[in-house]
Amino acid sequence: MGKRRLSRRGFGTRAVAAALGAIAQPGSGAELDGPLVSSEAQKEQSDLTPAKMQEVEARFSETIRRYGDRLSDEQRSRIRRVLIQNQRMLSPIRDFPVHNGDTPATTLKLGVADSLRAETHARTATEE
Amino acid sequence: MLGEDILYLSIRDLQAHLRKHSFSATELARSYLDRSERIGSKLNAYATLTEDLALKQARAAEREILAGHYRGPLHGIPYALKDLVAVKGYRTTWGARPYADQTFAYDATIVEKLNQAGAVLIGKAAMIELAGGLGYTDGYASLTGPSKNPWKTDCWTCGSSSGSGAVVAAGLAAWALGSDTRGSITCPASWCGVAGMRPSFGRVSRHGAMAIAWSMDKLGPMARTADDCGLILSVIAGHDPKDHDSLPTTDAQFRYPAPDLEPHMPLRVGRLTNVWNKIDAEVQKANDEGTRVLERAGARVSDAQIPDGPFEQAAELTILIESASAFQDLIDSGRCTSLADPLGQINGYASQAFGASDYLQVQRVRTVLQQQVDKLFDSFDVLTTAGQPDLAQPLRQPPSKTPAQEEPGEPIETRAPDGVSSLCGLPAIAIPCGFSSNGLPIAIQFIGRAAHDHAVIAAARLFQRHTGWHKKHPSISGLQDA
Repeated sequence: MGKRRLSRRGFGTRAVAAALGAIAQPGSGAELDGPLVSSEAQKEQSDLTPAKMQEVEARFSETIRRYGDRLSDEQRSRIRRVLIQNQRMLSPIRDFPVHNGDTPATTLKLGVADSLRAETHARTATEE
Repeated sequence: MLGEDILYLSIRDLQAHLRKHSFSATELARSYLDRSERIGSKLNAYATLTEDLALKQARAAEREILAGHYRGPLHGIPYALKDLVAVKGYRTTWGARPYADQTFAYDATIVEKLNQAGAVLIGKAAMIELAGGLGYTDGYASLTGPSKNPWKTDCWTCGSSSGSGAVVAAGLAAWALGSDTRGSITCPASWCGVAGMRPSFGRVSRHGAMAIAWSMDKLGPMARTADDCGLILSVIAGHDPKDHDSLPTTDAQFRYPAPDLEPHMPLRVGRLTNVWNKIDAEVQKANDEGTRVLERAGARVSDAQIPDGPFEQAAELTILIESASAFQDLIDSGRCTSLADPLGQINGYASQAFGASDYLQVQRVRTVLQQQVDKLFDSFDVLTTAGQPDLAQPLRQPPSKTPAQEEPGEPIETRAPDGVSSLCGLPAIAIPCGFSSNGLPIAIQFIGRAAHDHAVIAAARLFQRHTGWHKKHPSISGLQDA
């Protein structure tokens, strides 16, 4: 089951599986941190445009800059695969049409205490 | 000690026995504790047993009940708590090695509520490390090892409320609390053959519970029946100013039973036809029969479709980005490398690479998707589909010994029900609706409009009034003898 989709685990499986093999753009510098590109890996990443792959490489390089000293070669390779999968997930999100007024589901909520709300309600009712 | 005929009763039935003094709250707690000690460890069901606390609470409940002072439906009823909820003075490990010795000096709000209700805490249920917040690949990603499915112990319970599922299915407590960010209650409920309910977002306070993704985390009950879920929710729901996302008082409170708040008959049920890439044939067959049961019971069933949209991606990205923030100290310190799962060890590093614009875009898309899904409920009281599209899977070897997770992935199920309903904060309940030819549970689930938790409970109750799947329980005599 989990290989298809299973709560947090489903993502984990996909994240490491959907992008088999590492990617490395020749000349990007990132290839120094991972295994060479296999033909299978190239096929796996073929759905990402060069611009999106550049973004992956930039994120990978930044991750290695920050945390590379604590990562094994295998872990670095895995991070790159995860970043590719993350990029795939971002694509339909970025393509989805939203308009200026479509607010994010993260707006600040005013914490008006219930007691204060009740008090205000009662005062208003009295005044009326 | 009380036998299985008692220990598998519903909360409603147990409460009736306690009030009739058929047995005492202490006797009930001792029986569950004894069973939990004997069987719990064999299933990796618990992180910690809280025997002293349980007996203290049980004796107090017994005294009050004898005196005729009833606190409500959970008074004297033993339960287990997923080990991501703080209980003052007891270890709260979050299922993860870096937090193996963690304790809190306060009780979570939900624990305060349960204490006030006179409930009896048997123990802290095992769970997937960090509830899968940094990703995981199988049931071995847990401080206490993989929870084993009581129906077939070489199968997993699913996660991340893995121990909670085992506890309820094995009759180790009357109910257990789970948490659900995206499917972590409904999946173990489905695989373990119990009722599991994810309340509407904001209905149950999470203060004192580990956060994975603040905008998606929920706490909810796992129990024997939908009716029990309603009873539990009536105790644990309610506004809490300590939880930023808590609904206002009038929306958060949950009165139960409340026939006036339930949908009118005929119940309008939308059968989802476009949510799974693949579904097991036996699961499909059991769910088809399940909808026929509903029709015979008077419900009006017709097909429904989730609109197109990147639901799953939005849910996953929300969780990835929020969890990278929630666990930033763990990631920055490098202690994440002591997690059990190889993916969990590194996933936080990758998630920190997301930008603010990525997150805001996801949340803007989420708002639009939420509005689209909400429109579906103009035509339906509840949506229904399988609890999970397949059966409990076999336990795997520890991740370090198998590259199974490196197999090629299948396409993302963009409209997987857990992703859709969790992303949109919708209530859902999974209940048993049959068994496979090899004896594993199969579940049907109902999803409701935001804040319409009564609707999903009403649908599940209607189903359970006409079926007996929820009365079956696994034979675990082998475990007791071992």
